[in-house]
Amino acid sequence: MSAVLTCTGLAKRYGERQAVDGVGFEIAPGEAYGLLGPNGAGKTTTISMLCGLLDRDAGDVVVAGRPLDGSDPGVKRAIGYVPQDIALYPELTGQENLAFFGRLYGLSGGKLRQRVAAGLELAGLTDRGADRVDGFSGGMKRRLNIAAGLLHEPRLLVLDEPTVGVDPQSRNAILDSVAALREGGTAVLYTSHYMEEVERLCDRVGIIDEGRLIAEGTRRELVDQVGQADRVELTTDGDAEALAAACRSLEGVSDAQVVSGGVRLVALRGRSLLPALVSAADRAGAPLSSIDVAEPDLESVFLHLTGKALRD
Amino acid sequence: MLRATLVIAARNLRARSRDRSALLVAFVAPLVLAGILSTALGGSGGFEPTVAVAGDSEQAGQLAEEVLGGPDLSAVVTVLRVADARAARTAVAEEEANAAIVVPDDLGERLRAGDAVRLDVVRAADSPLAGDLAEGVASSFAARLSVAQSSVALALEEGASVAQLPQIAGAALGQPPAMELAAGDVEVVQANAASYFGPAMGVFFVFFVVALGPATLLRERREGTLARIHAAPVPTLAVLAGTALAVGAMAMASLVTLWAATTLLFDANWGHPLGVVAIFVVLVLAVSGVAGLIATAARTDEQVDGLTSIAAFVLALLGGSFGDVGGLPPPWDGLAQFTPNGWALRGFVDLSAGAAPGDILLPLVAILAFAALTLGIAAPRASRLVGR
Repeated sequence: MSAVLTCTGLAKRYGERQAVDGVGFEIAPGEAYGLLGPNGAGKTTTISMLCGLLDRDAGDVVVAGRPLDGSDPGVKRAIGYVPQDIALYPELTGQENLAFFGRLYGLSGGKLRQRVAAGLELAGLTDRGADRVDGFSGGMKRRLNIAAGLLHEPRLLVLDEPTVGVDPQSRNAILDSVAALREGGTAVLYTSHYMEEVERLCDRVGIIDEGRLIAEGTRRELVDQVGQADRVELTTDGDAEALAAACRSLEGVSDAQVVSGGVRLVALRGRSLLPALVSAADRAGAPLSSIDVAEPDLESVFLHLTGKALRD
Repeated sequence: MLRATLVIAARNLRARSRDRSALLVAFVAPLVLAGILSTALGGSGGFEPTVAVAGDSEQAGQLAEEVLGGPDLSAVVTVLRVADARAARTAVAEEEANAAIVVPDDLGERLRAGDAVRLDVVRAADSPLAGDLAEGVASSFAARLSVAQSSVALALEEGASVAQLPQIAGAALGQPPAMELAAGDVEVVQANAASYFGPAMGVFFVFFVVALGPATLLRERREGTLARIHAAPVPTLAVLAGTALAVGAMAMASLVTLWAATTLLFDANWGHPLGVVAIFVVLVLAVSGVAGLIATAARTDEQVDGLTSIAAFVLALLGGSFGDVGGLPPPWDGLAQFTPNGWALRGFVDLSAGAAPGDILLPLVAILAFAALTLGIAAPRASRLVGR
């Protein structure tokens, strides 16, 4: 089956800063693709170009077989855009907001009413549709924000960090809704700096840093890039530099970085290294106050590839 | 394009209808200010000045009783007799009279002696019309006095006795001038202050209504709804057109409401409806041009508000929205012709005085020229406001 979204060689420069440099990927129908990277990595700039909000310096975008080059405004009907900011009109009701955005996509009459009702139901706001948005909680606004991007039943749903500032309950509801859409055949492009969300929701992940796509694949494929390495967090009140140096000398430790309050390691079979780590800490004059061993995840993949943490 | 424009315009209007501050600016404030200014500066009814006549001479009596108190003026003018010039100035200063005419006590002797005749007029700065009336009456009376003086001189040459001179002078004074407008030749359209300040406040406040457009666009850009609109298959021009359509409609509604309300509540006479609507339309275009210039200069909606206030007040002051600028010293008295306010008010004053729509072509063209200039500069840059 042909891809819903194909983008190649995307580039965007702001003055001296290359915000996006040669990013390209594909998304198939019913597939969720996660774009994972820290703040300022180029995620929002990339999806802004994909949605036609930003002119590209270079690169091509093809959505549902049609190029996004300004010659065919109708290609935007295939894209549902959910911005990071809550882009709703506070003085209008939930119904009025959805009806307005639905009309912009050509919906009218009975079809519009049906889609607005469906949007309110998806957002869990059927009983609050006649209330003004400025009276909604943050979670309600977020859900309505997502519903507004789905009114016209797009083939590609683009969500830019949709759970920022949202309580855990609402976040789960949002993730469940997106998962249901994916299972219904909608292609999903999901950007986030929350590894857990991307791991939970996405079939494939692209890791972006400083404007470049540095890795791409399923979670398994990405984790395998770092081998079976665990992420070990050592907390100490002593000399963290000396501790890191001591840890690097241990067999099985591939990387050791000083972080706030201690040292972060990437090591094979981390649990088996615990006795050696404790000894190394004593020798370095940095007794440990806590040790935390984490199985390989996208965070460790990012750390392995960039030397930075996702949330630094 | 058209459908998207109308959808965006409808949303704007719905939002504005729930914006109390916008409704206050568009509908309440202009009516309240028009009412205050009309009643404070112009009285509750029409033009009914009090003119003081100073002096004890026979001529002063004639001026007060036969001219100002005559059939032509007595329905409008109230006459106040005072003793002398000092009393006349006091009466005007203390607002007992709107103007005063000082007739010298030795006027009769001067006439008989063939000496120069002088009448002084005391004007109040805040009653220009009354001052104009007093000057006109004084000039007309002085002309009659000159006729009487000439009659006396001629009579003396013809051999009339001194005893006959008062009778000769009085008869000459009582004769109407060779040329005089007969009653009924001029249809006087009673104008009141509300007929001026109603349109004046409409012209002033329309700036704030139209400025809602660029302020809205800047706020939408900041809050992300503009990006959401751009993600939809909507031409950029539709965003601009829809916003302009909405504020234009609101501005027209504001002006029409003010027109109706001041007419009903304050007996304002705006003039021929077609002329009034024509001025409304071109005025909204002109103000849109100013708003467009402001929008291209401002970076935030707060800046739009600030710049709009400055532009509105400056143009209102120079254009006469707060009072007649004709009495200002040059060059201030001439700057009104460079403002849409000045031309709009000129058109409204003409309409109020009975002009037909065809008679206000010059103000309409002048306002359109202003609109063309400002829109011509702003339009190419306006796309930046809504662009990606």
